[in-house]
Order: sequence, then structure tokens, then C-alpha cells
Amino acid sequence: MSSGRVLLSTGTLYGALQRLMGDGWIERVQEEDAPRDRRTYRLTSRGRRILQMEIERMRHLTKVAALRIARKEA
Amino acid sequence: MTSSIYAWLLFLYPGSYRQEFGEEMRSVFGEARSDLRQTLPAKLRFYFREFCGLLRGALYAHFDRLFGPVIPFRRFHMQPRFRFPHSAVVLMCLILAGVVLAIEKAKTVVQMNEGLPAGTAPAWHPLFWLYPLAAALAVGAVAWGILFALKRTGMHRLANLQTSHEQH
Repeated sequence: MSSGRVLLSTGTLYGALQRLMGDGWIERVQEEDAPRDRRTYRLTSRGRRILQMEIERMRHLTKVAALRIARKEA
Repeated sequence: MTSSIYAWLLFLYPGSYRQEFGEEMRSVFGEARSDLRQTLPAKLRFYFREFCGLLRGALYAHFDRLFGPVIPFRRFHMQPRFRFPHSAVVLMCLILAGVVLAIEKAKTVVQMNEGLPAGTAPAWHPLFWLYPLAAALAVGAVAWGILFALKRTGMHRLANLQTSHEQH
């Protein structure tokens, strides 16, 4: 997904997953044919809503950053 | 060999955490290891990252279990809209406690002055001069709390900016 730019250790990854599950942003999906040590996670409706807000926030930040650069170049 | 060391290191985590994620973590670790480039620097980087990640993750898991989620999980701790620092909550509780204490003290002073004969000068509480000082400190603390929260959020800076789309 990040083309190798972000490398996560399993400790960091599962710490984040636990926090996201605790906040109710993601949930586990039990797939019947999946092996026992392989779990799937998906966004909850709350998580999807928060992700959408985060995307909007980042979009706003990039707009502001672009505006600042344009002002400096002008 | 490394799998068994990894399994052993998982005992650094709280039991409930290990029960919930341990097997999955071992599986993901094994998969990441099999995808690893077979050069010494790549291996060293991988094992170092995993070791540090496990130590940090175990530490956070123990803190979470003991004190609740008080440590922000770095970049993954996304806080949309408004970031409300925990220190501001502590500060607000302290201010509330100060206000309640001041009210109680004021009630005591009023009760002391009730029932005095006419013409008697009211008996002030010996530490009455502390109240204006406490009030000034409370106001200062509130102002500091607001500024601190604004500094942490950066909202005061963003609020003054407009995007090019908004300007047109």
C-alpha cells in the first residue's frame, strides 16, 4: 500500500489494531474457511465516518499548504 | 529458531493481549520473515525493528491495561476535528476543585458572621486574603489552559487561513 515506505513491526501493527478495535473503529470478521491464525478486519460504520472526516481534514491541510506555497512563489 | 524466540518475547505482553493476538502475531511475523530479502543488513534491520516494536508494544499494552489508553499511539492515534489534550482535562479538574473549595470556604465565612450582635464588626476568616489570590491563580490557569489547548491543536493558526477555493 505504501510501496515499501512504511515498514511496521508486528508489535506496532497489533498495538494499532488493538487501539482501533478498542475505539470501535474496526472490527474482526470471522471468515468460515479462513485458517485459525488468520483474521480479517474491517471498518465499522463509525470508523468509516471518522476516516472520511480525517480525509477531509487532510485535504484541507494540503489545500492550505498549496496556498501557502503559491503565495510564496507569487 | 527465531520463531521460538519471538514466541518467548510475546510473554512480555499481558496474558489477555497474548491470548487475543499472540497466535496471529506469530503468523504475521513468520510471513514477514519469509518475504525478507536474504541479505545480512536486511535481516538485521528486520529483527531490530521487530524487537523494538515488541518491546514498545508490550510497554504500551501494560500501560493501557493499568491506566487506560493514556499514551497516544503516535501516528496511528488519529484525532479528527479537535485534539483535546489530557493535560487540559487534569487542569480543568483542578480548577473545578479549586472553585468548589472556594465556595465551601465562603459558606463557612458567612456562617461565622451570622447571629452576631448589631454593630459588631464581622469576623473575617483569618485566611480570607487568600481568596483573591486563589481567584487570580484560577483565572491565570484557565487562560493558560486555553492557550495550551490552542497551541496543541494548532486551530488558532488554521482558523486564520483560507484556501484558494474559499477566497474566490
